[in-house]
Amino acid sequence: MKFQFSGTFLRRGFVIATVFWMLALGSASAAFKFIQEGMTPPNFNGKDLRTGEKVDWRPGSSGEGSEVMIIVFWATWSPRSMEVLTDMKELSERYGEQGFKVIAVNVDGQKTSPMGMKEIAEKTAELDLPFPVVVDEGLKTFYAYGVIAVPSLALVDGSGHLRYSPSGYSFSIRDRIVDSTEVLLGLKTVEDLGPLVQGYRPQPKASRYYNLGRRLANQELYERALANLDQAVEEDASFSSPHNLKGQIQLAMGHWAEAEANFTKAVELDSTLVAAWAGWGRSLLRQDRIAEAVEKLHVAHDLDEGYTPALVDLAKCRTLEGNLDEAWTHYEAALELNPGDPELLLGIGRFLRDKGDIPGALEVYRRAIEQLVTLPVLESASTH
Amino acid sequence: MKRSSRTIIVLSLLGCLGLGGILCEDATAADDRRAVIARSRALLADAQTSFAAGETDSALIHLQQVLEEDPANPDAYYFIGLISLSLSDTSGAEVALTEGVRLAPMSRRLKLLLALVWVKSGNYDEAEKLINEVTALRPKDLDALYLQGLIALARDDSAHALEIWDHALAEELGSVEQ
Repeated sequence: MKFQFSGTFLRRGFVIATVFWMLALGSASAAFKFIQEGMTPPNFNGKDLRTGEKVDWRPGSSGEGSEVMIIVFWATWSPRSMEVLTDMKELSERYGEQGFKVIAVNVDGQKTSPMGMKEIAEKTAELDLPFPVVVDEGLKTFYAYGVIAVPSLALVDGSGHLRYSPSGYSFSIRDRIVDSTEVLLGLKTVEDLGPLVQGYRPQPKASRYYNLGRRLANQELYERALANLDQAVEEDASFSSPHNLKGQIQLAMGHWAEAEANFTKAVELDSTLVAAWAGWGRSLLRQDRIAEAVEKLHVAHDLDEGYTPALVDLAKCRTLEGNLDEAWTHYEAALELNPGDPELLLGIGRFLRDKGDIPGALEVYRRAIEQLVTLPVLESASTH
Repeated sequence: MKRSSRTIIVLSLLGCLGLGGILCEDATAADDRRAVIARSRALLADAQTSFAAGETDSALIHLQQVLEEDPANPDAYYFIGLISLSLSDTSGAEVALTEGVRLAPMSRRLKLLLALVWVKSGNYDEAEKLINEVTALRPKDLDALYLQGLIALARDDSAHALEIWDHALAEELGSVEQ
């Protein structure tokens, strides 16, 4: 039997193949610590706050070639999140019928109290969003993706692969989302876009071991996670993410030298892996090798100015060097990107405390802890 | 069969029937209790949904209904306390939460919410007692440490507040002091 392909099929196939190869759109941008462009992001589920209906998202579940799914990680305490959601609402209205979809995942906090839920529901109603809004209880999805800053976006194509994951949000990021959407939906050709970077597609078995390792790491079952990541590496020696995740785990376990070795390997395989450069910097910082740490952290920062962990560690390095002004510049930049990050706030609180600015430190500590508690938050004046 | 044996058998059967009767009564009472619990749970869920939607009046109605079904329901008092607090009705919150703590003296969330109300109204000593009851069992309880910090702050002991919160955050975030 002879197969014959129509002209339309061939043209569409060419576009899709080209997009497949080219549409990583800057794999140096890094919204997520554990998922890189080209990989399949984790599935998640929840209840749509607007309708009460169950939302169960799995990458590639629609089986439609021409589809764009944007996952937005947002929070009520993040002013930029409102900008993103409003823009996504507009894009939904423009491209919704052609296959543009959005799910907004609220990551207000680890524990959502009844009053917290009320606030999220009120904000959702105020924005009048035409797409599902789910609350990430226990921040399970947040940790599974390794979200760095809020807001963060994941652009996933119809086959379930992550194509673009910018950290932060700006006009240029919005433009790139529009461009990617139009190409993936077949409304524009790849030639209309600028030079693009190819993403890495790991071997399927390696990907499975990696995902299992990631899930185990999130449950702090580190030894088992490491064993699975070793398997991932065996299945695909060119896959950089397992080395990066092994490094992150070693950092969590306090094994600085082992972490350094893993991050070194990760960047050897993929010199654009921001999380690995930043992790390498952190492992050096922990070993008091400050000058070397600064060098690696600057590489991470140059690759992605929105990667807050690099900024925070640069601030810590500058503090140790006694360069407090520059440290503060880095902290301010990180805070602008991630105003509700409790770890960042703790770092800033300690910085201010050590500088002798006790009232400033207390205010920041209070902001940090109020991100995490389940009790209703008191206004400052009401403690007297 | 001997008469005595028949008597024993009859008496045993009567005893079983009697026991069965008691068990049936217990089963009926248990079924009633289960039904009350199920209805209360549903009403509490409705109350939470209404509260999240900003419909505090509806939420309070649902909670009143819970207490009509089940007057000793500490969860209802907890939510009444929470709603009262959200409406800045500190005294209403205090009354509800005090009753809740009386009904459920081991409830962490009732104690801490009542402690919060007392911190808000300046009753720091009483708040501290409740907080200490929680931290005796859960020394790293973040909500409790948050309140301890607020009390230290209210007593103008900034250094102690900083120390409490630094330690609490470091534990919670697993953050190494750099």
